[in-house]
Amino acid sequence: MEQSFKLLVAAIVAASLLSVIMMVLWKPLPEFDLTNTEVTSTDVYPDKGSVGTVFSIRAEVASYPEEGVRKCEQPKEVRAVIGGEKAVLIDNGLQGDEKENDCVFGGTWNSELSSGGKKQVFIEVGDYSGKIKRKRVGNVSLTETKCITVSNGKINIVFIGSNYSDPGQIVDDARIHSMYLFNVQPFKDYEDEIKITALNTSMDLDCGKKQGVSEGIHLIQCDDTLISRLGARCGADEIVVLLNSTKMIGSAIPHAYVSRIYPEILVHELGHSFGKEKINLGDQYSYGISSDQGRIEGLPNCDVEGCPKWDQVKGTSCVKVDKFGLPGCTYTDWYSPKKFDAEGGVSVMEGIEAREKRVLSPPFEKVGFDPVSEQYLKKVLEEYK
Amino acid sequence: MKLKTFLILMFFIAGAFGKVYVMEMTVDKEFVGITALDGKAPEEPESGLKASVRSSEGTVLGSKNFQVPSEKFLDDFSRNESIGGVIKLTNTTFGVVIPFFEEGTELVVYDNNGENLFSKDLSRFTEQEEEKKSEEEVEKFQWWWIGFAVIVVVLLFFLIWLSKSREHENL
Repeated sequence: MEQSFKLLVAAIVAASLLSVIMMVLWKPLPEFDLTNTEVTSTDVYPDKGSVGTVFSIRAEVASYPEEGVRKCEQPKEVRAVIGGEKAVLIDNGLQGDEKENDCVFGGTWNSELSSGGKKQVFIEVGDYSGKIKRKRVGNVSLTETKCITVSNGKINIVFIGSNYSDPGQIVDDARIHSMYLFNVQPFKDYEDEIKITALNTSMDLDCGKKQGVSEGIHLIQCDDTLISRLGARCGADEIVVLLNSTKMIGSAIPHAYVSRIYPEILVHELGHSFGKEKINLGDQYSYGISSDQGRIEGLPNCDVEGCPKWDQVKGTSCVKVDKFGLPGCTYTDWYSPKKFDAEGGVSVMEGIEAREKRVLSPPFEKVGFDPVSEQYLKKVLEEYK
Repeated sequence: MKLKTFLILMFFIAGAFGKVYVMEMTVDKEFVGITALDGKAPEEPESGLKASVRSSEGTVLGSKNFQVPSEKFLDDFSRNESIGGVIKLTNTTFGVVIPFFEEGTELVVYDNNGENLFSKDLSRFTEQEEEKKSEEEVEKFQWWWIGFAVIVVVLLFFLIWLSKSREHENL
């Protein structure tokens, strides 16, 4: 009986001791009233991407106990729910949420394990009794992408289709466009060094055509950041955007953009964009304005009178008039390295001689670069190697 | 010199297929946003703006030059004469692909003259932060263990006392 009493006392002492430890360590739950709490502003970046993109989410969660009074209280949890997946948001100034305890909660959601589609985004705020307040704040578009290798090499040109109804079509289109490219020097000599990749995606690249500076000219303006993200997924050195359009149009910088049925235009646009520098080859037709009125400071394939840039290059001259009979090479006071040759399709930077088509199919129009442009592109290709 | 070689080597390794940041900027050089994804950064031009990734200690883990595509070539070949030109872009954004560094906590962008344009926090993309979050979770979890331990200890002593008292009763 005495032993039992001792054990009971020991139990009471041990429990008391642990209770004291608990009391010392225990902190009362913060006061938090969910009823006055509002999710006032949110930001999800980016709003569209491919599976695997890390999305940043920010939400301002504050309490409004009285009119005009805003308090930054600490809910038990603030989280984003994107397509059923959860991401914890924290207000510590390290989650892209600027400052600590400023009512702005931030966090990231890695879409790596998610499937494609339009996902609803909710912000959930939880209190300490388990109650949750939920607010729908928008959507994100997630697309499953697949980088399909068309041909192997080191220098990776990635073809991305815009507004393709059948995303698989891009593989066939990339194959035909690359066949065409590899018929043109200097790309022909570097066929084994160039990798062609087609990005299988149905994502809308927002390539809505806007009206350009002159009447009737279409400016192809896509979502270039989205294109860069998609290109990076496939390890792009260069990106070609194929537009699901039958118009004979193209554009360049920062990527090459071209109607999917005109590989001739692709060669021209790649001349502008191919290379590490922002602007590479220039147009060898005249814009009708002089260089002091223009924006471009120098081009490898246009030069001032006398053409000192290529006076050592064989097969060149210093041509004043473009193929349309106008003076100039980009600008009226600049000169081209070669007179246009329709038979040889030289030079494609002077403009193409394509006929209107309805479908992408061989035979193709003949195009080529002049010796100066060819030499420049060869240098770029060597740098990539 | 050795450090420089090391940094170049590190940057080369980071440039291989792995993870990258993709920063969005306006052509007026204003920051829009940044994300991270699996991918590869293309090679850089010789000149232009510079994006540097720094660690929490301020060490430059890697830098990348890039140029602002503020002009666009446009070509319309549908007529007998080529119509096109170069236009200056406004209200447009573009993406810069930058190699990813696990220790990267800050992105600093410099203009052509080397002046700081802006810097942005990258902590949310680092593994360290994820670890920190899980540590916090572990900390919360330990509270439950203390409470659970108290109950177990009391129950244990009670059972021992119960069995002992029964033994005494049997005797």
